[in-house]
Amino acid sequence: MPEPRRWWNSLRLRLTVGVSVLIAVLGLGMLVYIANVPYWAVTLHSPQPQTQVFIAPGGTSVSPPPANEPAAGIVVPGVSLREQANFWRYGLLGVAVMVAVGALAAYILVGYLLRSLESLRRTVSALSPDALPLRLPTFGREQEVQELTAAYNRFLRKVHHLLDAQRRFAADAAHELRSPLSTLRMQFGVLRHPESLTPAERQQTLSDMEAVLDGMVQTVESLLLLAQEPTPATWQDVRLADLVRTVLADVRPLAQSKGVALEADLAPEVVVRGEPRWLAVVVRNLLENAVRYNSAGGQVHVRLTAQGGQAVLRVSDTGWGIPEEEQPFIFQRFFRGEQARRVEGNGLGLALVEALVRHHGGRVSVQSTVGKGSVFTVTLPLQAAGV
Amino acid sequence: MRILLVEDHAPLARALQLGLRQQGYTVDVAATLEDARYALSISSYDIVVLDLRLPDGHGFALCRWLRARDERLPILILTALDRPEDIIEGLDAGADDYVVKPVELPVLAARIRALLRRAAPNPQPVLEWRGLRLDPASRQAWLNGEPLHLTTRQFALLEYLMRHPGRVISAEELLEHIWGAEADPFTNTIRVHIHLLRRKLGDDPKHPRFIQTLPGAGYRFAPPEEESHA
Ligand SMILES: Nc1ncnc2c1ncn2[C@@H]1O[C@H](COP(=O)(O)OP(=O)(O)OP(=O)(O)O)[C@@H](O)[C@H]1O
Ligand SMILES: [Mg+2]
Repeated sequence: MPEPRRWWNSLRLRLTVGVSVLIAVLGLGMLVYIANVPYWAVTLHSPQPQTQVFIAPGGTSVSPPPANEPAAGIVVPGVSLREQANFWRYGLLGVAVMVAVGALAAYILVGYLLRSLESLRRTVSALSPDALPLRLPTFGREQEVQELTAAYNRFLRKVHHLLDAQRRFAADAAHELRSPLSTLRMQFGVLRHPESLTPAERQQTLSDMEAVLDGMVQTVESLLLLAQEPTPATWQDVRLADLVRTVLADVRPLAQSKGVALEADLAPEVVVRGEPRWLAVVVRNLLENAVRYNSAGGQVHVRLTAQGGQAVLRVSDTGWGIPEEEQPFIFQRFFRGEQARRVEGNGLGLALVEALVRHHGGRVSVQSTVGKGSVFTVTLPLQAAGV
Repeated sequence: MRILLVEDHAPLARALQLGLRQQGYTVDVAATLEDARYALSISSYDIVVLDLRLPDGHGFALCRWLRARDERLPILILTALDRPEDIIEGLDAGADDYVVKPVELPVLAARIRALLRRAAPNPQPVLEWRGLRLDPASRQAWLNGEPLHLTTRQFALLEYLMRHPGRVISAEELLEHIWGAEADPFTNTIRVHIHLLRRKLGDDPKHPRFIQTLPGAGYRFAPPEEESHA
């Protein structure tokens, strides 16, 4: 809960009051001290030994020798009541003046020092989310203010990062969903006049619509995953061999229908830390690509090992391979190879793989030769060997 | 009117085919450039709707190939490629129109109508002759102000005839352009349809006002002894 905005919470006022109190305390202390020092310490040599000279705040006060003083030559300790009252009156007045002057000076000085803070405040409160600057300008030379500005800038960077991800998601989603939506609308339009269709055509249109919808769901899920920030809080120890085996079972029907053989060689005790769902997406995309961009009679081999503190997952295929000039682009969103256009897809698979592996602190790389096949290698930091 | 749709994305191709068919067109689909070339060499079409990114090459190749063969056949490019360079190259390769996907079916149909109109001898948006009025955009017809109720095929037949007034059109041509691949060459489909159409138009074959039969040759809309003001 933030403090309510009250005038006495102002830093400027508090510093001013603080300085005033300090001056008052010091001034009074000084008076008390002076009032209690032994008389000889403040006695000045004087041509007339009977004469005592007090130094009071604000000036020199010379008091005449009292009438009832004892004989000359001896300085008598103690002063008369009247003189004491005078001392305190003038002393206190002096302290009051000092406090007033000090307070004013402090008020002005603190205001001056807080100027850069004030302009920082004004700049920050004028920020609007649709025109966020990349960084704030520098305010004043004060180190504290600069540190505050730097902290704001770090925050701004994070906000930009997040906003970018969200904007990208919105743009990508709009871009990617427009085509299937327009196809869907056309299909709906066709079904609006069912009398002009044969039952087989109606059936075909319905299953086409289903396929288009499935594709849209897939696209949205991929984009959402890409837009997400990593949340290691939900991560767990994942036994990669089990995960790969589950995904293999999912991909097997596709491989069988394409006439591609799937083989696996999985070290059982390789454990990484991560989100099982995401890691499954990584493995599935690599396996699907290896099967899809492959010809009948081809092979796909998955190998899982642990090497030097890293889990290494290698998916190799004897498929079409990727031309050298395409290789730099395959991890970009929406990139699809010239050959791959024959097959359905939207070019998000490897972008997802790359982003998810990076979130998990790992790396993915590719080696490929056209006509021979491709090898995708994912390395992830090992959590522990043997559980 | 018969359309060749060259599109490799099967669900979209099927939706377009059915949608355009509901608008009265006959649509053949080719999924590759090779299929398209084959279809074009064995049958005649009124318009080609062409996707650019095809599994066996670029649609521009088909454009150039077609232009080298036949200079009239309208080509409408329908593609997701929306860069200015693509549009310029497409139109320069011989396309008559360039439509960027995604497209709404009514818009596509209107563009197809416009191209067909321009390619036909009679380029009027609404066809009129002797009190017979035909509006291909709204798919309505009137005879002396009275609405005519025509089936899709009858409408297409009448439109084709009215687009080519004064020309003798063979039954084969009508069959090819209106029935397309669905045509059965061994039936008297055309005779039956012309007969029904005449009945609705109140046309007497002996003294035709609209459709004249030229035995052995075909049919002719707007017989020449009358003045045509198309
Ligand atoms: N194993 C592979 N063999 C050959 N080419 C591949 C392989 N994996 C990826 N590619 C190439 O990289 C491109 C990008 O792959 P990516 O997985 O990102 O998209 P996609 O498979 O085309 O579509 P999506 O995965 O979104 O359905 C592919 O289009 C293909 O050209
Ligand atoms: Mg993929």
